[in-house]
Amino acid sequence: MPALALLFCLLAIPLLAVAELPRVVVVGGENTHHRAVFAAMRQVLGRDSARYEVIYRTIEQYRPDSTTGAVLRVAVGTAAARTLGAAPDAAPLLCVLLPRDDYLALPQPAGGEMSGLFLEQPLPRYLALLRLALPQHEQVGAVLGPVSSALAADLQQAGYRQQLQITTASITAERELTAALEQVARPAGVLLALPDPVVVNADTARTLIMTAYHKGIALVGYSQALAKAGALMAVHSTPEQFGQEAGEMVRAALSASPVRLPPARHPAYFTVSVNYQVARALELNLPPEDRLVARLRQQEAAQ
Amino acid sequence: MGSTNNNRIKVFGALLGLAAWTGYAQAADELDLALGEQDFFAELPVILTATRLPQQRADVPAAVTVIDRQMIEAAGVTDIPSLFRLVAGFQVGHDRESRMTVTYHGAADMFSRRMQVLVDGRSIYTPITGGVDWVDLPVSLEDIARIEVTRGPNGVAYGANSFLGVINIITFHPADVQGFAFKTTLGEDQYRKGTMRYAGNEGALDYRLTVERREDSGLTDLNWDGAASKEANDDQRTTALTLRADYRATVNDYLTFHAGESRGPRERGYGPSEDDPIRWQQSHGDYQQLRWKHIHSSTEEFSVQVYRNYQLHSDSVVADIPPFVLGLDYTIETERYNLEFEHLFAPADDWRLAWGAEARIDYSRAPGYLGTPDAYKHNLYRLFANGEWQPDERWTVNVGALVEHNEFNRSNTSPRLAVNYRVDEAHYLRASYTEAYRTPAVFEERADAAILLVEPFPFPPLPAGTAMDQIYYSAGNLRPEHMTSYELGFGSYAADRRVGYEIKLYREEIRDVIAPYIDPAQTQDELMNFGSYKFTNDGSTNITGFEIQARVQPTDASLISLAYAYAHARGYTLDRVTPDEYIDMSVATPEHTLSLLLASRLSADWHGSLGLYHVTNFEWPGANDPVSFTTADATLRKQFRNNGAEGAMFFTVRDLLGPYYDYVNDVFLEKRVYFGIELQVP
Repeated sequence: MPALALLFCLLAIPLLAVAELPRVVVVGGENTHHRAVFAAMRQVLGRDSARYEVIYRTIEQYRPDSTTGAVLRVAVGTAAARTLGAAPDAAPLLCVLLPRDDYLALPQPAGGEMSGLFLEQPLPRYLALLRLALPQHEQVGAVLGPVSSALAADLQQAGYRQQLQITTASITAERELTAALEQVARPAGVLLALPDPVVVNADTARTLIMTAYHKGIALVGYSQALAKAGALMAVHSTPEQFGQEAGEMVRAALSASPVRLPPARHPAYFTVSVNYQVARALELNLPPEDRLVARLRQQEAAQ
Repeated sequence: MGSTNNNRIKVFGALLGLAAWTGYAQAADELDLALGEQDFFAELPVILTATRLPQQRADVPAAVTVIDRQMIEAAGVTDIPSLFRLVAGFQVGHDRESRMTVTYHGAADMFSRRMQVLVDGRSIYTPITGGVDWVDLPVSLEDIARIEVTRGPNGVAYGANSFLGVINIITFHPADVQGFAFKTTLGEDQYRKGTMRYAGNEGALDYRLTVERREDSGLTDLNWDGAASKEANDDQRTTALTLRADYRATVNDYLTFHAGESRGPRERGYGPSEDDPIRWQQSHGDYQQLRWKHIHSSTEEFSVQVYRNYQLHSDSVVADIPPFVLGLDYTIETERYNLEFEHLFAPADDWRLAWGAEARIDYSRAPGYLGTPDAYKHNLYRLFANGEWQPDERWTVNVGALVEHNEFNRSNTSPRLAVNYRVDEAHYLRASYTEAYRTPAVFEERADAAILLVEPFPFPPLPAGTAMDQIYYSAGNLRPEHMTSYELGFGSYAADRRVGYEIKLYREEIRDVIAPYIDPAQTQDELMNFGSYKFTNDGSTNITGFEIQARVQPTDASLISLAYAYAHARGYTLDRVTPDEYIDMSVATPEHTLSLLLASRLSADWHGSLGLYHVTNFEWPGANDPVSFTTADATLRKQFRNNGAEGAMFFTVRDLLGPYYDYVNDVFLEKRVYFGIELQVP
C-alpha cells in the first residue's frame, strides 16, 4: 500500500508540473480552414512549449468549466467567438477569422480583455494593389451590397489617398447586379469586388465574372476562390497566414505580464493570387505574385 | 423513327417541375445576409476556364471571324444566312422555293455540303444531302449571342463535314437575357415575324423559353431582264418553340438542356405543271440536347453531351399525265443521335490538351431519293486530340489530328499543324497546314431516284411501282473528298480591342471531288430513258487567294466591319459522260467578294447602319448563271427607355439598290422595307 502511494506520487509529479504552466485554450470549428489555422498556430507556439501549454478544442469539445484557469483564450471563427464570448470566463480573448462587424458586435467580456484578427483585408491594400498592378487605370468601380455599403465612405477616402476615382453602386438584391455592373464597371475598366453575400456568391459569380470578362474589365477580388473562378486577381490571407499571425499575437500577449493582447487589426500577412489565364485574355502582363506581395509590404512598411 | 408529342410534353413538364422545386427550396432556405467565413473560404464555381477563355486571336490555329450581337443588330438582316455575307470569302445564295445556301469560296450548289454548322454544339447538317436547311434552322435570330466562323478546314476541332469551314452558332446563356423580351417585324412580301422570350432564374437554375412565328410570301420571280415579275411559289410559315435551361448542380457541375420544335408549311412547285404542281410541303423538326460539364479546375474539365435531331419534310406528288399516273416522293425524314465526350487539361504549364470521342447514328428515310421505304442507318465514330504548346510568350504551336470511321469510308485521319508567332504586343503571324476529308452524303452514296408508276398500266401490263424514268442513281463506293490547305496569316489588334484585322493568304487543294454528272445511257431497266444523274469522284480544284477581315470600333456605339476576299480558282469536275464534258471550276469561286458594314450613333437615341455587299464573276455550280452584284441594306433605329424597360423602333430597307439575283437568274431580290419594334423588360 505505501508502495502504491509512492508510485502515485511519482506519477503525479510530472502532471502537476505541467499543470502549473500557464494554459492557452484555442477553440475553433472543424472546417478545413479551421484545421489549417490550428496547424499554423501549433507551429508558431510549439517553440515555446516549455513556457506555456496550448490546448486545442473544437466548439463541441469545449467546456468552459474544464478550462477555467486559462490565461488566454483564442476563438477561431465566428461560431467559436460567439461561444467563448458568452462564456463566464474573464481570461483575455483573441478572436481570429471574424468579420470586423461581427467582432464589434460581440459583447465585451466581463472584466476581460478582447482583441481580434479580422477576416477582411484593409481597404487601402486593395487599392494599393490596383495602383501597382494596373497603373494605367485611374478609375475603379465597385458594386456594394447591404453589408459592404457601410464601407462606401471609407472606400472613397482610401481612393482619394491613392489618387483613384471610385464609382460605387449599391444593390439590395442579386437581381440588381447586372444593372449595377453596367453602371459602374464600363466607365471604370476596373471592378473591385468587396465581400458581400449579395454581391458575390455561387449564384452571382457567373454574372460578375462573365460581365467583367466580356467588357474587358479587370475584376479584383478578396478571396482565392474568386481568383480561381475567373477574377483577374485577389488579395487575401490564407488560413496558414491567419494561423501564423494569430500565433504571433498569442506569443506577444504572453510575453507581457500580466497577459496583454495587441489591439484588434486586419491581417498583416497576405497573398496575392493572379489568374494569369485571365490576365492573358485581357492582354495584361502582370508581375509574379510574390513580387506584388513584396512591393505592397514595402509600401505598407514605409507608411 | 419519329417521336411522340407526349414525350416532349413530359420533358418540358419535368423541367418546369424542376424550376418550381428549386424555387421553393430557395425560398425555404432563407438567404443569410451576414458576412461570414464562407464568403472568404468557400469554393466558387470556376467560371472562366481555359476553354471558356477563348484562345487569344494571336494564338488561334485558323482564321476565325466572329459575328457578335452588335454586328447582328447593325446588319439589320431578317434571316440568319444573310449574316454570313459579313464573313470574308463567304457567299449566300437564294434559290427557288425559299431555299438558301451558304458557302465559303463558292463551289457549291443549293445543298452546300462542305460546311459544318453547329448550334450550341449540335451538328445540324442534314445527313441525306449534307447541306443545311436554313429556313428550318431551329434557332431564333434573337437568341443568337454570337457566331464564330472558322474560315478553312477544321475537322480536328469540329469533325465531320468541317471541310471548307465551320459555322458555330452560340445562343445566349439565359442568365444574360433575364426578363421578358418581345420583338415584331413587319415587311414587304407579307413578311411577319414575332418573337417572345422569357428568361428567368430560380436559384441555381437559369432558363429561357422563346416562341417565334415567322412567315413571308418569299421572293419575286422576274425574267432575266428584271421585267415581268410574277410571284414565286415560295411562301413559308414557321412556328418555333425553343427552350434552354442551365442548372448548376454543384459548385462546379453544370447541366445544360436544350429542346425545341418547329413546324410549318412551305410552298413548293413551279405550276402549272403536272409533275411539280404548286403545293404545300409540311415541315417539322425537333431536337433535345443534354450536356453535363464538370469543371475540375481552371485548367481541367470534362463534358459529356448527348443530343437528338429530328426533321421531316412531307411532300409527295401524284401526276396524272395520260396515259400514266406517276408518283414522285420528295419526303425526307432524318434523325440523328449523337454522343460526345471531351476532356481538356493542361499536362504541363506550357501545354493545353483537348481530346475526345464521338459516336453518331444518322437515320435517313427518303423513299423518292433513296429508292427504299426503309430508313438507312449510318454510323460514324470520331476520336480527336488537339494540343496547344506555348514554349514561350512569342510562339504557339497547335498540333492535332482527327480519326474518323464511318459506314462509307474506312478510317481517315485529318491532321493539322499551326505555328503562331507574336511579332510584338499588337501583331502576329500564323502558318498552318491542314488536311480534311468530306464523307459522301447519303444521297451521293445511295441515290436511287426514279419517277414511279402509281397505278398499274393495263397494256403492256406494268405493275404499280415500275420505274418509268431514273433521275438519280449512285453505284456507291465513293471515296471521301480530300482537301489540303496551306495558310499564312498576319494580324493585328489593339489592346483596347477597338481595332483588329487579319490578312489570310491561302492555297486549298481539293481532290476526289464528288461530281454529279449526267449519264445518257440506260441506268436501270426504266421504261423511258432521258439519262440520269450519277455520282463519281472526278474533280479537282486549286484555289489560291487572300482575305482581309477587319473590325474597327471607334466608340462603343459605332462600328466598321470590312470583309474582302480575292480568289483565283483552277479546276474541273465531271459534268457529263459519252462524250466526257467537264465544268470549269475557275468560275465556281467568285474573284471578288466584299462586304462593308458601317454603324454609328446619330444622336442620343438614334442609330444608323449601312451594309454594302459586292460579288463578282461567279457561277454557282448548281445554277450555272453568272452572278455579279452590288447591293446594300440600311437600318435606322430609335432607342427608348421607360420605367426600366428598354426598347427600340427600327426601319430597315434591304437591297435598296434594286433587283438582282445571287444564285439563279429567275429568283430576284428586290428592294424590301421592314418596320419593327422591340422591347425588353427586366
